[in-house]
Amino acid sequence: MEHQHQLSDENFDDVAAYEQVQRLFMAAVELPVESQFSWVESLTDIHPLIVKQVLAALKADAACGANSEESDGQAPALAETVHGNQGKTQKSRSRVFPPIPNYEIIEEIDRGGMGVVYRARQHRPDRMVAIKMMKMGAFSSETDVERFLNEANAASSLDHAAVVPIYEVGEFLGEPFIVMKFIDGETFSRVLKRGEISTTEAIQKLCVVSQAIADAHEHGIIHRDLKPSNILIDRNSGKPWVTDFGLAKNLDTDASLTSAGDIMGTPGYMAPEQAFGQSKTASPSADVYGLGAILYVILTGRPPIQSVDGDIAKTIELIREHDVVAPRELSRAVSHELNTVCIKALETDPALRYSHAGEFGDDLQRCLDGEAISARSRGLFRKIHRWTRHRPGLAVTLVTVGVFYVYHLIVDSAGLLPNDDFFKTTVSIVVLLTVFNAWFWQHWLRRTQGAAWTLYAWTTGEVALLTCLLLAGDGASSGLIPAYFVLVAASGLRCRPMLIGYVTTLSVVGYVSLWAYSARATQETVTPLVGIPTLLALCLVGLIQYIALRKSSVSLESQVSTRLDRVHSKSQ
Amino acid sequence: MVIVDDLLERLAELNPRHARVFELRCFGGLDVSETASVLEVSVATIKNDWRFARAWLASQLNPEPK
Repeated sequence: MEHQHQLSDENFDDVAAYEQVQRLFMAAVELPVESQFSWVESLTDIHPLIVKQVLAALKADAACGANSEESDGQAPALAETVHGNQGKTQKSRSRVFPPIPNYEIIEEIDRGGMGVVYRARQHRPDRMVAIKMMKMGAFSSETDVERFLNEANAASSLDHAAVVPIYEVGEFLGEPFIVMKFIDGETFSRVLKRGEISTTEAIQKLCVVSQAIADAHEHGIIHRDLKPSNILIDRNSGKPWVTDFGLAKNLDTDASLTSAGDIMGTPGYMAPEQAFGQSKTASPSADVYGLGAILYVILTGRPPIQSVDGDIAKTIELIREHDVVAPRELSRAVSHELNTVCIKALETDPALRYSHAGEFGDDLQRCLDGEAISARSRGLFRKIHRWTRHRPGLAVTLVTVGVFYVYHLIVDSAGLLPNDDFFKTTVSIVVLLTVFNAWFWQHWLRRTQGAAWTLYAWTTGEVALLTCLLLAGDGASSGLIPAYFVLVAASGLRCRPMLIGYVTTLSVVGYVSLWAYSARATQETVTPLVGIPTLLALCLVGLIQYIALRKSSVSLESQVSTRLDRVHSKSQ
Repeated sequence: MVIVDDLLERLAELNPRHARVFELRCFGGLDVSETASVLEVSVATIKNDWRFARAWLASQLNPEPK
């Protein structure tokens, strides 16, 4: 082997040397493990530098053996010897761990949309840590990575007994990572799912978490992504630890959507103002919502907003109606106090929530201690507001009928109405029937969860009652003819284009029959100069409502569907 | 971090394919057969490349593993 003697320390052909190291290495690994090293050491005609490199590579290879699927056969034995001191043998995996200097990654402990969490051993100082590697493509730009690192830096300044401390924030080949204290335990969501924890105990942990969040807010740091899976429960002490502070902020919005699946798809813990795409403006009250959402899960076993799989119409409704069902409606075991605290934290309007995470925690503690809480249950106005939100049709009908009836009474008492008892009785009966009609169908609408036929029946009743009223009164020349327009316009609120056409047709039929009836029965006929424009106007109002609805629903549905599409394509 | 970057660059000079294999597998998250199809070489070659590139990089990173 002549040319090897030409290799001297000064004149070292790197590429040739590398190839030689590789050749010897590949030859060595073919041998049984115990004779590899002795074989390489026995190669006396090889340059000592090469031998040294081959030996180092072999040692490294043996250390890597545990997590490599290629080193079949001899690998399990090696894995045991290498990791035997940790007391567990590792499953052989095809996954490769990044060789971050000063850390030795032991295993993957969690994997989510944002990245991967590893358990690792830090060499200096020698301790167990958790390393969170952010996923490739979690950020849309370099500046986002920078902002993310800044945010993580800020979070590392937090020093609270219930906040997982951050040891190091860095980048490994452009991928940001965070080194944290390793908490031996499991996530709060898993603890809750297993159901081995009492409600009181879970709330006590949430109190501790609230104080930690309050402390963070005082330092100007907002968590932004509070949920049970971001709280770790120490296996030994049972102590809660909050993790992932502020990390959701600078992620590509779509990526964070997918990860938490927060708005659509999977249950959400996100505050409405965040879910509506203003996540970058999140304030401490968004965290209060998050705390409330965790309390909600503790009390009811499910998150406040539940997914509607693939149903766009229902998802839109969910986002619009974002009002949560009170915990007490789901479980009678929930006390009034806890119910009130939970609802106050989950108010859709941030201004109505607890202004401070600490206040929320204090009220929770008072609930546990049986003291009076600071939160008042919703006022009368809020209760009415909520009631009407859930029964919009009935509420609108009540108001409209009420206004007209009051008008009727005033006109009547002023003596402006003809002294016609039949008409007055009819008015009272029609008013009562209209209210009953609205109440009855609203009830069915809720029971059938929005079945379309209830709406058709409801509006049919309304148009029929109005026509009856007009028949008893002045017929086609009545001053109440505009009520048909009101009905057509109101049908637009139901968000069903077909319903508008239906109500318009019914109204036209009603008006025409009144016209025909009055032409026959009374002297007071309506001239075509009044009747035809009225009919045309009715049709036009219907058409306008139809077009307006199509426009708004097309834009809304396409918005939602493109968002859903993006979420789906990302998650594939 | 800088050390690893430098090492990968050095590896790319010594054997560009090894560096690619390492990058694809380690940072791209590809498995052996995916890497093989990306680089259009056999699976066996990728296995060998990978095993050596990883061992070489690791030996250069921590000259004396504990």
